[in-house]
Amino acid sequence: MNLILVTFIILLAFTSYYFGRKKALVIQSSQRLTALPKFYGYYLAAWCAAPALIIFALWSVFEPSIVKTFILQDYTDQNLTKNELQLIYTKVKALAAGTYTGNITNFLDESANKYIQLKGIANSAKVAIILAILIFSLSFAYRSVQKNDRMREPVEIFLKWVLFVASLGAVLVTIGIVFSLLFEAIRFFQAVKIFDFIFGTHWYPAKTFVRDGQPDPELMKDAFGAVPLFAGTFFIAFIAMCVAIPIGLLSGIYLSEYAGRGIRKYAKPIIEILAGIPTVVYGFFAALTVGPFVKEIGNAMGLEVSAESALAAGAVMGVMIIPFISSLSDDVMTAVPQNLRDGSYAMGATKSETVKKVIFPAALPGIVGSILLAVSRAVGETMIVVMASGLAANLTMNPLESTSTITAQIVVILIGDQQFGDPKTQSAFALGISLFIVTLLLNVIALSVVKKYREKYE
Amino acid sequence: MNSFKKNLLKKRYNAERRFQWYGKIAIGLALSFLAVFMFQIFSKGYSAFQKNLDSNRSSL
Repeated sequence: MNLILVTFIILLAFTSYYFGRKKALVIQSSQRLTALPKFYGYYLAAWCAAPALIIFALWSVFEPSIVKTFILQDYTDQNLTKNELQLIYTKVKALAAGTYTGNITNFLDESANKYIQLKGIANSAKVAIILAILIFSLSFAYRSVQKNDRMREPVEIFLKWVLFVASLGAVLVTIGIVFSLLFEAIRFFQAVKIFDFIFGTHWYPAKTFVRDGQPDPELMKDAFGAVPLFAGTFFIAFIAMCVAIPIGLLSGIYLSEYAGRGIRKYAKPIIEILAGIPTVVYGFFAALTVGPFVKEIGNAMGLEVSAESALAAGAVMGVMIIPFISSLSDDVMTAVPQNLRDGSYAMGATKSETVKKVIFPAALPGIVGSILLAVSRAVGETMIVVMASGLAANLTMNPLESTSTITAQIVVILIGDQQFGDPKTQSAFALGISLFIVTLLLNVIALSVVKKYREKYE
Repeated sequence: MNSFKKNLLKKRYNAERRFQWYGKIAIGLALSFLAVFMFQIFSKGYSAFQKNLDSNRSSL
């Protein structure tokens, strides 16, 4: 039903576009047009589709809750809790759909009949209202087309609003994500002290899992210390950056300043393949090839190396990140104006001196941006760590031991069965929001660094 | 041109050549990572395809 209605509205909008354009050509024979003929079409189509679709969306959002209040009105005198009411409503809906399998009381049967009736009324009311709106708005729009009003301005105002709503949607989604993280994290911090979370050095959430009952508060105190995870995250990200920044930056410089057109044309896309490989593939590459390789080398040198080492995960992560830095810094340095280079050469500087003293400072904002992007990729990377660096949260600074990161622990917490009210599950949200805050801080720091050291040549 | 300036120029040109080599090595490393990666994946994956084919053939 809804699908038919929406299809009808959209088809009508298309038809009215062609109708409007035709009408414009007819008007053209007697008087001067105020805009191109297609704007007459757009005007009609917008007036046809927008009001009807908005009302349709609002109706679809509010209809279920209104029907629900109508149904549950019959149960208000029974002193039921909110959850019981919800259960009754679910039962009624299932009964109306014919999928209910419990025993059917008279009361439920009555409610189900009422539900079906209400639904029917709501459906026909919806169709009637939308048809009325379509007729009204189309006839309104058609009248102004007939009068040959200005057509371009309303269409552009409409488009401006469409763009505004789209950007509003993006912003609202971001705010929604942050707040949902925040609320769950607050519930977690009611069970576990924030101090224990930030400064505790022992992460072992499985300890709090107690069958039938509340976990011991003493246990909780020692189970959710996030320091090993923060340390592991930054340690692995640091190893990754040690691989990625020198290689990425130097190859970016080479590509933009030294390489001929032929090399640049082929080398750049080939390096970018590295960024296109799925992280799962990197993960098993790290776990099955690099990890054992590192272990073998370590053993040959007489070192004790675990098969899942932070070094293997960090190195492979670094390789994955290389193209982010190389491609972006290449683009930024290519965009530095040629006259800066010419000036430097004219003073007798060699190419490398020009790169270090002139081009690099001028391109600094972009380069810092690319490194920042790489760091946030490294901090947020999950699959490689899960596969190659293990899941035990060791607090260690030895790259040859296994460590775990925030993201990997979120994976561990949220796979398998879990209870939503459990602090173990909610700790994932606390980890998520701390990750979010860390990346936010990184961004702020990088922005201020860029502002301070940037050389402006304008 | 006295010898001091000559030496300085030589130093600067050496630095220039070194810098260029750093870039070449970096690109070479990135490309060889890709090559090793591809080689590993395909050399291991290839045999998996073959084993699958063989077992299919024997079951037919």
